[in-house]
Amino acid sequence: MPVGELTSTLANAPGYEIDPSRVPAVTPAEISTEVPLKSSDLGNSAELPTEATSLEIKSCSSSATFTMPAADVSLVTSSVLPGLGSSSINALSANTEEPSELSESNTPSAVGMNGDDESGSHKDNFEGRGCERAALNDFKANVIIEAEPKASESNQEKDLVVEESDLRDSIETEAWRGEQRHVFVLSSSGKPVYSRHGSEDKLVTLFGVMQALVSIVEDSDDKIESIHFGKNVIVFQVRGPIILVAVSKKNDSVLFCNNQLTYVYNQIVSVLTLKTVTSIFERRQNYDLRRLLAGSERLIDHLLQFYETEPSIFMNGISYIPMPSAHRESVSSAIVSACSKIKNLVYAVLVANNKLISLARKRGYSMSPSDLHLILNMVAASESLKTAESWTPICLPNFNIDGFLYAHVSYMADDCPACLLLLTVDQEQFFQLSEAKMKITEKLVKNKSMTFINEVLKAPPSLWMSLHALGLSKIRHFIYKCRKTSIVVSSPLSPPYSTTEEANALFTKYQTLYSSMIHSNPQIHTLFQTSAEESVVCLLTEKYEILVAVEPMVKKQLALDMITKLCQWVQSEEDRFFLSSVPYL
Amino acid sequence: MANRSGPQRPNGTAQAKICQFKLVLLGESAVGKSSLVLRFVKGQFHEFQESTIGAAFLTQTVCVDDTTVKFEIWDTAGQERYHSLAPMYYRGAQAAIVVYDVTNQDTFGRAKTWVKELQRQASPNIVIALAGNKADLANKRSVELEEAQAYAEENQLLFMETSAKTAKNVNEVFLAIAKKLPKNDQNVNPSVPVNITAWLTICVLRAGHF
Repeated sequence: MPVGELTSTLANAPGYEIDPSRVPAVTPAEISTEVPLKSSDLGNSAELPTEATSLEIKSCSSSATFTMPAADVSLVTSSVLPGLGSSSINALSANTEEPSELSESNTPSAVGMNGDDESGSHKDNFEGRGCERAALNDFKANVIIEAEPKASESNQEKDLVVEESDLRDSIETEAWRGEQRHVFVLSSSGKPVYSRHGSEDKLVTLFGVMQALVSIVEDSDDKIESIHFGKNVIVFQVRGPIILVAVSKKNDSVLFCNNQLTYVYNQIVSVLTLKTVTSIFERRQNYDLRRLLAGSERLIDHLLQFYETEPSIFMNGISYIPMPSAHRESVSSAIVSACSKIKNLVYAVLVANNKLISLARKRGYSMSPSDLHLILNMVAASESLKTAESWTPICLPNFNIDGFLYAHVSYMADDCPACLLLLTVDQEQFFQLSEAKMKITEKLVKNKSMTFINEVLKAPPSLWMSLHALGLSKIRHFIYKCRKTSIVVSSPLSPPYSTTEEANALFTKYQTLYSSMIHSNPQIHTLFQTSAEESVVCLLTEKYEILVAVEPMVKKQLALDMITKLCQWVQSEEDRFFLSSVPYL
Repeated sequence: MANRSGPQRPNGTAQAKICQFKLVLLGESAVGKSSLVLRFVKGQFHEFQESTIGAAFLTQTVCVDDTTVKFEIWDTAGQERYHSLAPMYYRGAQAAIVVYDVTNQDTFGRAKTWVKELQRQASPNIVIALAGNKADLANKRSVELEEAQAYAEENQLLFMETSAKTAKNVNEVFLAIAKKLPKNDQNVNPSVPVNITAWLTICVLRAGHF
């Protein structure tokens, strides 16, 4: 069945269930140029899989599988090739933070470099078993494969082989290898900046390999995007002088990894501003950026974890602490009345438990969800903010990527977990804001809002959102996002998702499903995926997006009925979850 | 009356004279600036104090003779990226504590640079104290006491080796600064109302006359 036909079938079936076994194997003609890596090239690896494995080509709406010799790695780049449609890049940009950044990457397409050893060395490091290629977008238009290794590549090959033994020693520890997701940041000259696990210094040769991979592809006027091997994926992002690399053994989508890398990049920019990063590397290309980032590694560490399990970040939205709108309004009005006279104050944000209580902003300035996530991350990752009033520069990339805002950060009271941030453009305003904060506290105590906030935050989440009460006890967990407002409502993680591993497993399922849908062209509206543990349903409508985990034996129709009921309930309770009107400062 | 009862009241409730001073802590990252402040202000110590974000603002009051000295403390982050912000904190400061780690020679070098910068750019009368922190790790010492002492004398700095962990010399260094600061009228903060107890004492005394 030609791919085109498959796509149109999907388009006409809104409730289409994807069952990979029913998707016919496709052997597109373009792929015949693929040169499989010879097994002997990798004969020295003990972990080399012996069984024949398959190369998978995925696009949003189809999946093609065919068998290849055991050892193979595929590499996806965005090549600058004439005659390719640019529709794919639009789909990509729509789901990332900064379309302008991504538009540099030209037209994504796939380039296989199956003969080269660099990819081979990566493969044994990441214990690959199969081989897989994922085109970033519509398969018909973009899968172009180049197979012949260039002369420069073979030279590079030899250097890398020498390095490989050193590299092995340093990354051979069980703990490091056992990690499922890695993130690396390096400068374009190959200097380590950050590694999620292990110390950058010990991994320096690995950073060298990553830098080499990027520059090899750049040499041919192309841009590396990802390498696929079995369930493993290595995703690259080149942002000016900074290279970001995500490695996942969890079957994560390229989109998921790319968004995560964008967050890491934004976090770095948030600490330094883009102007500083750019000018530093303009002056000294081999600058060790760790000097300037010292102390902010914990922000990146926390952000990565946050991105993987915090529903609002995961869905790129905003979550509010549910409370009656009248209460929220009295909190907001206390903040606004204390701050309205303060010139240069841009945002006043009250947060608790990774959610918003109130957000007031200067007229004409909105806060992007990803900027808010950086703020939430800073608060959640910094216990020390509880001990004193803090005054810190922070760059919000979507507000001004080249400049700092100054944040007055303080907790409302010693026994109150709500944290107030007042963000201004004036770095001399600390005492004025400190005074405003005192006024806010006084007002909140006076109008009893403080007591109320404390009660809401202390109450166990099951009280405020019991699915049982709605007769929806077969729904185990959900994340709902209103498309218009980007507001995200999610149920608390209760058993069987209460441990970090269980929650991670569920979120991995969510994101695989969600990424494949959001990326589908034409749009798939409903996906229903069943497994022994649970069934996961993803529903995209014009108004909302919803991800739901239901008990495994629930039939599709019943699940959809329950979801409809759930959505109606969320919408009827909107004023508790949403901010009805945005207060202006 | 208040003058006489002052020294007998260590918490300083009976003093009418209140001076307010701005104090800034400077030094390389991870030398223990926040730990010193936390020990001084809250009497706490955390083995794994995380790095400060930007700067933290705290206040603490100490009593010197007949005067209550209120410190407005700016605990700055030591990382390189925050250096350009430092003038914002030491500008107008009457006192500074430059901190180094006795187990790390580099941080002593960095402390000297801070002292130079303060001498050149801060207000000319600023009282500077040099604190060699982590004195509890004296067995790993790499900055000799004599070396630091000689440097401090040469530059007319107050000097003490401190330990935020054991609380050694922490209050002492702040007190030494408080003593050295000029307590003239200029520093008496008009916005701080005369402390209630003192005021009551005066009222009671006056009432007694009637």
